[in-house]
Amino acid sequence: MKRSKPAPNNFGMLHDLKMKKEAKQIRVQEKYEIQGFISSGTYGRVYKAKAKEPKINEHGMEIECVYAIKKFKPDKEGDTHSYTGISQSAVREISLCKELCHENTIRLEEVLLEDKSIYMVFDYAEHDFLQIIHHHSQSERKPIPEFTIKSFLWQLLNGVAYLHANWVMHRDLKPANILVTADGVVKIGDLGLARLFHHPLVPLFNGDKVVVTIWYRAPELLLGSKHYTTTIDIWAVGCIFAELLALKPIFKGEEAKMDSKKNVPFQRSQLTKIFEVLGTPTKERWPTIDHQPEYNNLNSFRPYSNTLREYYDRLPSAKSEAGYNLLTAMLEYDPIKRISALDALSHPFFEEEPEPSFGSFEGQEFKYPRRTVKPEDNDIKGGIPAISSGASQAGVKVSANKKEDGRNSKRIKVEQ
Amino acid sequence: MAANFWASTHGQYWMLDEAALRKSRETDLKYLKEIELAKIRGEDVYCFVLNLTSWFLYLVIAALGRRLNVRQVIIATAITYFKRFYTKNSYKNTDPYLVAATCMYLACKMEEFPQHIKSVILEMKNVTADQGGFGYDNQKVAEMEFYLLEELEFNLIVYHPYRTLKTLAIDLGQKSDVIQRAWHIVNDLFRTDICLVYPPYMIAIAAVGFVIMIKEARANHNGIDTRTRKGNGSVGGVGSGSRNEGRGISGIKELKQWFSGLQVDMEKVLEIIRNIKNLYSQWREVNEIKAQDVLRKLREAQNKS
Ligand SMILES: Nc1ncnc2c1ncn2[C@@H]1O[C@H](COP(=O)(O)OP(=O)(O)O)[C@@H](O)[C@H]1O
Ligand SMILES: [Mg+2]
Repeated sequence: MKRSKPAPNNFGMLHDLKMKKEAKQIRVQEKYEIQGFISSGTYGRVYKAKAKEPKINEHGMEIECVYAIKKFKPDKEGDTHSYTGISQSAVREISLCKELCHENTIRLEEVLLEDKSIYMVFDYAEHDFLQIIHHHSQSERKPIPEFTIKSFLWQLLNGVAYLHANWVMHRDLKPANILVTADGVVKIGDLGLARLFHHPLVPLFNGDKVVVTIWYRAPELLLGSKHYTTTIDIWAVGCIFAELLALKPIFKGEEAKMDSKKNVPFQRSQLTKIFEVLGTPTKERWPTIDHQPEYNNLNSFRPYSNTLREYYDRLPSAKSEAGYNLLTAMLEYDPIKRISALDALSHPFFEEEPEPSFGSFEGQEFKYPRRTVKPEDNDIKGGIPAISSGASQAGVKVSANKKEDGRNSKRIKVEQ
Repeated sequence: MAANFWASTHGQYWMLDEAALRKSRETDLKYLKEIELAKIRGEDVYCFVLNLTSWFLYLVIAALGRRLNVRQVIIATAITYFKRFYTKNSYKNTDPYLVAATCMYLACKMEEFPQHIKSVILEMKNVTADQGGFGYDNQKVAEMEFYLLEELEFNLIVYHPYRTLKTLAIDLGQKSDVIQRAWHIVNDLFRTDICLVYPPYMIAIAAVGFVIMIKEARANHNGIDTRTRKGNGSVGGVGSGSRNEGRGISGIKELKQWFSGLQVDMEKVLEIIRNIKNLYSQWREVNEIKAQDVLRKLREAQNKS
């Protein structure tokens, strides 16, 4: 390597850009009134906020704009604490959300950068599938109405079909990431793991060793597939459909943790849960199963028979034969045979009464509780420094809004 | 979005016209006059010097990409970021080396081939070792990344002609060398601002059209047109193919027929082809040493100010 001349340390150059940015800088606090925080997730925190300036609609009327602001903490090097720029997950989510525009995907209002943190401002959604499932299993103690489930499922598939048609794989579909507006419109959220899949530069496996929260992870992923396809999203949708019906996860396995060398362990427990319901996969059901890297591990399982029929028939709100057919088509072992989002949308299930609608709550006599918004604890390091007076005065110490069953937090990532 | 170019941020916000581009160069043109770069006068000459600079910076970014072992697509994305940034900023006020390294760092993340910030810096040091070096650390590159994101308006997904070339390759079949040659032309085109002006699929088609034109010209001259060959010595093998391709006139006829059947605005494609011809006619005038020289003076002037 040639020795370089003393490098011009041109900090003045950055100074210019800094001035430029500061001149037009909109501070988060100036534009939005933070009403409290909603969730503390993998990458940062999600806050509820109101725009200080209301928007004016075409009739000259003020419309109140409520947002969910997702704050990404700066990416730091583990030990050295030196700042290394924006995380890959933020790059993914920002780049995709900037492009996406669909009724059933969450809309990104804007992105703000401030003090080394990134703030993504999304339209606020009052509910999510997880919260609604919880409400029915804990408080209501009644199944979700058939019409609501069907409307949820149809809109979810509608959003997924849009993503797939645009070469986006979501890779983290689960109830906590499927939002619902107060009017019952489904909005797919959390694109932090999503990616474009045309001409992947590297086998998908290299980027993230583990994708999809374990309970929603497709069998080909559990068996070590390296070149998976959009069908992994459909498996997750199948699991979500079953969960909306049963009010509990259909395949609730224990995640085998990664060892210190970051080898991906064999997910015996999760596979057992799947086999218990769907039966052991055979070469008839999945002709290329023997190409799966973990195929040999399957010898050590005892044979199970397919009990999905019994499982479905026990569910109180699952009465439709077409619904059962659709579920089996989504929980198909062989990824090639698994139904596509587009085909699922025109499945007979959706032509039967009650037909799905964008207003998933129509005709419901009860209302779901609003999302809990906790007042910000001012001491939480890295939180938005000061929030609107009302909330901060409460001064209550609150811990992160973690769901006790881990559905909200079990996402493991290995990034290069 | 991804499936439809015109619905993407690239198609909606980043297709600029020549006039807008010229306007974005005004500060730098004035600046070049001020610092009497290259001691020459006349608008055209200054424009030329400016093109020279951007040409050289292409080489810097491409070299950085090769050192990091990244694919051509990532280099193309980095260069597009770089060019987009400089439609809103001037060489006068920003250090193109810092911007270049940051564009590469961000492009690698965007294209799912993340690189350690330190490796990008290290390789940038190597690439620029004999041109004043690179004196920025993690913090500065990360800070620059923030400014870059903002200037890019967070529109990070970039379309490239390569994807269209791959689609066209299916039509042409494996035996054809047209796509491979067009591929190199597309690479070369990133030295110019074409990616800011024309949609990527048209650039791809124009590159293919250019290859067919050359083939036709060569066939007509029955392989004696050595002038074209010399002139295009470094243009990725165009015109330097083996003489016994066995395609002959009939092959070219077929190619032309196939080409004219493509559903595309042929006016625009011809415009791009003119740009391609321009690029290769400039090729001999632009020499790397001259470009390096210009850039060095530019950076020196920055340091003084
Ligand atoms: N637009 C939104 N409106 C309301 N709540 C939201 C919104 N986006 C996210 N949330 C809440 O915040 C949680 C975490 O957000 P998410 O985008 O999934 O980030 P993470 O990567 O941390 O999982 C969600 O599960 C949901 O409860
Ligand atoms: Mg989430």
